[in-house]
Amino acid sequence: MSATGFPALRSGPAGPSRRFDLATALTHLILIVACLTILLPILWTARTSFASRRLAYDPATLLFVPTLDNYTKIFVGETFLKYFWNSLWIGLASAAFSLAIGSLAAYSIARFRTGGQPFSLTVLGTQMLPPVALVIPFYLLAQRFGLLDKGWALAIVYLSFNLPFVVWILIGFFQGIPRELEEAALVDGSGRLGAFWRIIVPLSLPGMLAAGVFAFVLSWNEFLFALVLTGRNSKTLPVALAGLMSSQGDQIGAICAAAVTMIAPIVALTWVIQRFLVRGLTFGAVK
Amino acid sequence: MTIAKNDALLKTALKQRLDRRRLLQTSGAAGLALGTGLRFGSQAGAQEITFSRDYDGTTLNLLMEDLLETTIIEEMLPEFKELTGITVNFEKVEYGVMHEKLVPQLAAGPGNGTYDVLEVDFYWVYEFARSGWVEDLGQRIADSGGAIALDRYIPATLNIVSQADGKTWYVPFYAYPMGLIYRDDLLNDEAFKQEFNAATGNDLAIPDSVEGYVELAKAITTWKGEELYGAAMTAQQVDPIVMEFCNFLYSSGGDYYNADLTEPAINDETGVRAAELYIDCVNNAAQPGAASANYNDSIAVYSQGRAFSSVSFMWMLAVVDGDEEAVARGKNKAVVMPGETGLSGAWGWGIPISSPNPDAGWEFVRWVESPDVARRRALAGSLPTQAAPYKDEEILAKFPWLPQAGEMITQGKGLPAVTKQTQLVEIVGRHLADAVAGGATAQEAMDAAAAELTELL
Amino acid sequence: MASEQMIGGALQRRDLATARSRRRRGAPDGAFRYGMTLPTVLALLLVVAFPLVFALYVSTHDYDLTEGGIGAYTGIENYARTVGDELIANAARNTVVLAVSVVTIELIIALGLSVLLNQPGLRFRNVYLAILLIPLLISPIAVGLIWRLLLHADLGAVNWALGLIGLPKQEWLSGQTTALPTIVGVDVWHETSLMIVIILAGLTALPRDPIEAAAVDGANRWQAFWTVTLPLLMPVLLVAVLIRMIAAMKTYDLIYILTRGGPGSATETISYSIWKNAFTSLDMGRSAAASFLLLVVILALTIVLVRVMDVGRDA
Repeated sequence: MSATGFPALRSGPAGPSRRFDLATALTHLILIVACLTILLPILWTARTSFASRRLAYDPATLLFVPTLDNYTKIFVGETFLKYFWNSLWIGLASAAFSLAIGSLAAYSIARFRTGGQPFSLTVLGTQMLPPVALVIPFYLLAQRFGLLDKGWALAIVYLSFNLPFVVWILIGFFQGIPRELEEAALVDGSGRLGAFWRIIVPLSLPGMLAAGVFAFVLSWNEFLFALVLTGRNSKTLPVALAGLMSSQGDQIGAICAAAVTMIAPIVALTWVIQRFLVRGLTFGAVK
Repeated sequence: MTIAKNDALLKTALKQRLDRRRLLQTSGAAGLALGTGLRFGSQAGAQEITFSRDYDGTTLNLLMEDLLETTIIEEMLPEFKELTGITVNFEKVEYGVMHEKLVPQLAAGPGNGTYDVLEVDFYWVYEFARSGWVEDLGQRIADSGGAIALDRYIPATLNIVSQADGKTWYVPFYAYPMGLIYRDDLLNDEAFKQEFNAATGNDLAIPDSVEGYVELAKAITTWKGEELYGAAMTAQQVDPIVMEFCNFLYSSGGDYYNADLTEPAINDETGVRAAELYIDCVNNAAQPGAASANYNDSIAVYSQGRAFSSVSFMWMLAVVDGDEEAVARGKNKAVVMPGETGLSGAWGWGIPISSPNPDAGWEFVRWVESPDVARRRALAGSLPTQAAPYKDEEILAKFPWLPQAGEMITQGKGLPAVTKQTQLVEIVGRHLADAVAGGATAQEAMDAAAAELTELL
Repeated sequence: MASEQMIGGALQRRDLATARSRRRRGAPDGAFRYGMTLPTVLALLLVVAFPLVFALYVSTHDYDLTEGGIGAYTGIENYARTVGDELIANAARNTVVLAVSVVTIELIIALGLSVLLNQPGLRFRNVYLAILLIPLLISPIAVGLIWRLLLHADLGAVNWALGLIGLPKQEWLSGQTTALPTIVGVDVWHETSLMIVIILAGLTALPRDPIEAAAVDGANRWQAFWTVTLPLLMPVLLVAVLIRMIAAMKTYDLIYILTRGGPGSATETISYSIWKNAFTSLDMGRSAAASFLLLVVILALTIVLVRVMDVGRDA
């Protein structure tokens, strides 16, 4: 299990490396198929983003003169950069804060069963209601306190949506870390909080990251509360996207252009994920 | 066109209305509308309309549907600002989410809302009015110094989007009637006509009844399906299917309720027949996927030249003709729905009780619906609810189908006067869609719909 | 045990348990434990408590927006009417089918892909990862609209591609029987990547020792996976399944964009139904009741899942 590089290029015992060959080839095959399933619609989206309305609905025409109109529309006509920025900072803020707060609670629950199952289930239970049930009271609250169309109000709302999930994800990861490590730290004289900071947090980085990504994506994609609580200034991407639909014809080209731009951060995201989340690097070895 | 023709049209429409006693039932102010309607040919004397600077510095926020009509006004806003010092912000959203965005803040109480002026669709009229969410505009209109005068409007629009229960709640904004749009070039193409004759044994002509229309559409699809479908349809829930169906229903002589709104009529013989025709049309004459197609989908099909006709909104015509690459561009004509009565929709302006700046908001309404601004909007492509633009030479030259649109408005009907019109649309849409999908017969579907419609009364 | 029963009451039981563990492990005092959870509790109380209580209150009253404010107390009438509603039954069916399909398929695919991606020394890993994670950042609205374009029965790319190889045009979103499976497909396309992130994290966090020990003992990769890796991964898998299931049962924006619940009511899910009724009938009391019923169902499912998969939990 410690092969590096393509086994086919290694010289070595005939038996095991031939088995590795097939396995690796299969691995790549499956991954390639999966990637194609994702990639083909994306490529089509990119194609449509450079197409006029008519061409969008004409799949048979493979070659055509591309147009930048759709991109112009969303960046010049529609200030999509602002909505992009709103979604970005609101997502990051709500993810960061929910991680900070949630990790503490998750630790307490994972190690000491604080509140038992009723407590952790109640925390999760706040997220079991369909959003529509809470829309009106949320609106009333926000309106009463003058919080409409304020980005950070939405960030706080998302914080409360993310918390339960972050807590639950982290509970799972914290439980996987042996207690002996904190015991050792305590014996060495560090306080409980110190043990948490210096032992648990670094070791559970994969989990923290997963929870953080989860929280970010949740906020990035949320629609209903963004719709009701934001206005012109704090509008987020999903709401802006919905704005590109219209009964006089969806501006499918512009929507595709927006989708293509939304994918841009994926490069950064992947870098972060592959750096911390993938086993292949000798990371997280617990000795 | 000419005043004489429009008056004749109006008189016919009025006669039809009186015959069905529809008008009197749908609104107490119908009598008023009839009376003033007969005078719409004459202008109320040339009054000098002035706008106040009392609200200098105010900012108004409006929630508007993101469409051409809104853009037209947006471009004129700097002028308004110069006149009054008021800044107007349009928050533009897609239709489907407008209602959702409006409801929470309308229910928030006096002065607590976000929007100062409302753009109201014709099927929120009763809902908003009867919930006490909008101001009664009667006094404001009377004091508007000639800027707003109800007699300037086509009477039909007053019934659809302005008046309810004897009071005036909204000022009509623009109309979106539905009618039959079709490929005029194909209709007049000799070769096409001969082939059609050979294939079906009939002459190609625009029919004058719903039955005839469905027959024609099916014939075309049978003959040329895959290349050309008889009709581009939108049977998606909730909104598209019902809007389309209204035309079939009304033109067959049917309606959702009986004349005095005591019982549903949707499941009587006419209603069921209309439903059967509609279902037949969707399943046998329309493009593939019609059962879940929305306006976007069907416009695409029609634009690409793959449909002969479409029962649709007049703005669809504008979209197709305005798309430089559309195969069907410039080849279309529109006519009132075969059977003479289509669905006529419209938007109106209202002042919500929860408006933070109602008086400044009213200034905006006075300006945007003043005759000059209304005329310029019409010239830019917004389908007017005021009658004058329909006789304006310049506008007619630019939009040759305007007279037909005017006919559609005059002869069209809106939705019945129940408070929860949105729910009516949802109920009918759900059951009709079920029937289209084969889950129920037309009779069963209409009976089920009728049962639920009774609860709305 | 006997003393526990005599005392009774969850609070006392809990204190006893923690006291026991305290004696065993020298656990910290209550201040630390509760203090750690305090920020979370506060945040939730501050933001969600009022709306939740409001919704609960309203569910037992007559609250129709068109009739002004909150009306008379109606007890469980709203709940009863919801349960007896045929539409809800249909929506419930659809929701269960959707949620179960989606979670199962996504779990299997995500697990498989994560394990493959996790292989040491895998070439092009970053490329694969980048591509597989792309759907994460595309809003459901855009995903829905793009797939509507692709699946347009007459003009869409998918049917066109099928035509190239001689297959007839499929109905996809407009067919009575094909609509729900199509939605499942789109959801899988979109959401599998999130599961991949969580499961990858879980795999990375696994201790190496047990796996290496198994290899030393002569187990091949399959055996090692089944007997060692998978059980260790259970807590993370449980969380992933739970979270995904809760989200799946709340799905409504994808339905809104793709089919509006149609054709007929073939793809109407509970959450979508509640949302639709809330804004057409404006009967907020009823929709609140329906929402809480959904909450109860999800909670029940959660408890069941937790019990079933609760294999590796620390005592």
